[in-house]
Amino acid sequence: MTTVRPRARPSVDPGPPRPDARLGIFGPIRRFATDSNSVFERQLCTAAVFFLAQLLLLGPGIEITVPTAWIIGNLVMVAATGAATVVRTARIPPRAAMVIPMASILAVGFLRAGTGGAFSVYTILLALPVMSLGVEPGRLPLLLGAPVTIAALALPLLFGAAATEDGNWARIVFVPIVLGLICLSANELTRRLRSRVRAVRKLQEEQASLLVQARRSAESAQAASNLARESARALTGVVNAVTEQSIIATDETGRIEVFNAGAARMLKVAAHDVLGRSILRFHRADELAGSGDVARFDCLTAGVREGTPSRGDWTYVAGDGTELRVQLSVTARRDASGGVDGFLFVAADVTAEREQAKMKDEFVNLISHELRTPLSSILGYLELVADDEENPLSKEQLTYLTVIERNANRLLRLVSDLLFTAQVESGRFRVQEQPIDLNAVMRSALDTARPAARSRNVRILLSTCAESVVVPGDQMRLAQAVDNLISNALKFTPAGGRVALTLRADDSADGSGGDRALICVSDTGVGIPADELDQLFGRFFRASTATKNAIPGVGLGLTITRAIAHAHGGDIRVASTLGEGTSFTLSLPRVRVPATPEGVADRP
Amino acid sequence: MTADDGPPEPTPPTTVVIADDDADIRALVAIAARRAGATVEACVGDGVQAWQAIEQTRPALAVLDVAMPGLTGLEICRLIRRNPGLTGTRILLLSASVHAVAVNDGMLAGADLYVEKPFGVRSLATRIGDLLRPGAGGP
Repeated sequence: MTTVRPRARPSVDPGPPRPDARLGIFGPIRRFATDSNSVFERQLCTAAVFFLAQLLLLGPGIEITVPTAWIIGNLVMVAATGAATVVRTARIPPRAAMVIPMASILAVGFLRAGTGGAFSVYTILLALPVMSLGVEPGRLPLLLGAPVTIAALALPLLFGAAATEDGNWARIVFVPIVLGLICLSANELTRRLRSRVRAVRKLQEEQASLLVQARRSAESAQAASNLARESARALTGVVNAVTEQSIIATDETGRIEVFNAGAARMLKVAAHDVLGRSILRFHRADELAGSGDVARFDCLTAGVREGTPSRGDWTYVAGDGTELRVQLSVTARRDASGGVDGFLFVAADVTAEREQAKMKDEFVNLISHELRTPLSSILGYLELVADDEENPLSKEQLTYLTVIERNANRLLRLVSDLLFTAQVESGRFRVQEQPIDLNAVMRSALDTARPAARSRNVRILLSTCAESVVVPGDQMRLAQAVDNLISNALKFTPAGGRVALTLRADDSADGSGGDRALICVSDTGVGIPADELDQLFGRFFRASTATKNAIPGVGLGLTITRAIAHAHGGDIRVASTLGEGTSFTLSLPRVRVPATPEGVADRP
Repeated sequence: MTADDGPPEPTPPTTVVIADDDADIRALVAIAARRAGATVEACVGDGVQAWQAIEQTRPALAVLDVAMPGLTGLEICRLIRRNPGLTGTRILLLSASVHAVAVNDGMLAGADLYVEKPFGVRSLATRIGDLLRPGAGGP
């Protein structure tokens, strides 16, 4: 027996249910009609009817007229049935199995010829093998079946019946046509049935595979949803574990969507009280320019929308009205397409830090004030004593006073330097920009340095620029920077050495505004070890050559010089060879002086 | 100094009020003022006294420390500039602060000159002399 699914599936997977199991007794019938391999069953059916029908011969009225034909008919039927058994087991091609119903047609033909020819009641038995042939797929069985049927009907002629006798010809022509039509109908019906069954089977298979797919995707969807839930829980946990920073996420208009535990703690309100409300309720209106919530919120998120995160100090007003200073970072929240769909506000309470910084500032200011006031008195009264024309001092006394004055000035410088570094550190140092001609600054620095150079027996040389070199800057601070560099050079250069001051203008090739002024202070001094060069500008750093040679100083000069350079948008570089000398180059952005008419004429 | 001043005894044109919370500095400023030929009308240690002295004596010059108890130098500066009776009074601010912002504040408050501490007596005397000289640029 042929199974619907020729290949057994693994027993663990039952697969779709076998159609036969559900069809009950209709199974064999269905197979009869549709299964091209069921030729044995059909033959068995034909043979059974064939032999049972012959029981009629025992009764009156029907007789064997041509025993030879009758015997041949039965033998052919037995042979055909035997062949069907072989076909069933031997797996010969389905087309070859068509021979069996054709043999059955002939067997019926012989039976008919042997039992009265045209008058035989067994003519009708032809329907069975013809049907069997008709259900074979394709039209070929019909084409082959027609001549065989005609031949079977013509058999009585072979055994002596006249062709014209009793309408033999009519039967030979008419019966095959009827049978052919029946066969054609059966063939067409089975073809349809077969294709429908094929479609149903295909559908079943598709359904089964869809079912498997659906099961799989349901499983992966479940896993994904578990993962998403897990990561959402983890994220919420992380955000809420941040208790020292306030994390607030808003939509595009500033309505609060996320309010973490840190925010609740810092702003003293519960999340459920503020969700959906505007974040502006935590800001002081006077810190946000513009009127109306939209303008104020735009002020808070200025630039963020365009992709520049903002970071700055703001005042938060907590739920109980207390104010706190926060450092607030504002970033944009973006959707999958990159559009802004909200903002994230992360704030840290810096009230204490800002208070401390303010106190430090005040302390430095106070100290500098308190130190400068007595120094003012010391220097003022020293001047009075030294200048007292009515009571002139002896030369020796004047020398002593000079020492006192020098030291008072040193103290004063130290206080000023400390105050200045404190200003730089707190970011309060701002340059009051004015156009400054560096040639004048250099000449004045040379004048200031000359007495010290003379006393140390160091030659000091100045090379200024033929044209004026103007930078936007603070005269006093620039002079201080140059003085610092020169005073260092003098301090570190042994007697007989040289200090060279050079000013030159470095024009950018295209005149696009990259022009710089370069101030170079070089000496033939003791030099600085290479491994100390990068620490040189640090606060209170002193080179080993300074400490070794007991050169006085506290290590603020270069810190201040670099701070001044940076405040002017410039920079400072150092090059040094131990034992040969050091060279500092201060580079400042300069403005080109509008060319005079002659100047224009000079440049074609 | 306005032309239609009524009082019969006109204020001498070279009177000075000095205010600084440090007595030594006050004395030093007073010496410089005298060297410049001025008469020191008052030499006080806090802002309130300074303002009283200025209102009473209507000096030609007020030398004020910026940081003082009572009223600060800047506050007195503004009071003087708001008082129509004191249009002729010049103001010299003294400060130990070197912030450029502080200098700017002083000038905005109406000071004529801003002198940083420490100062040389001789140079301060010269500056006071310049401020008191008739015809020197008014406020």
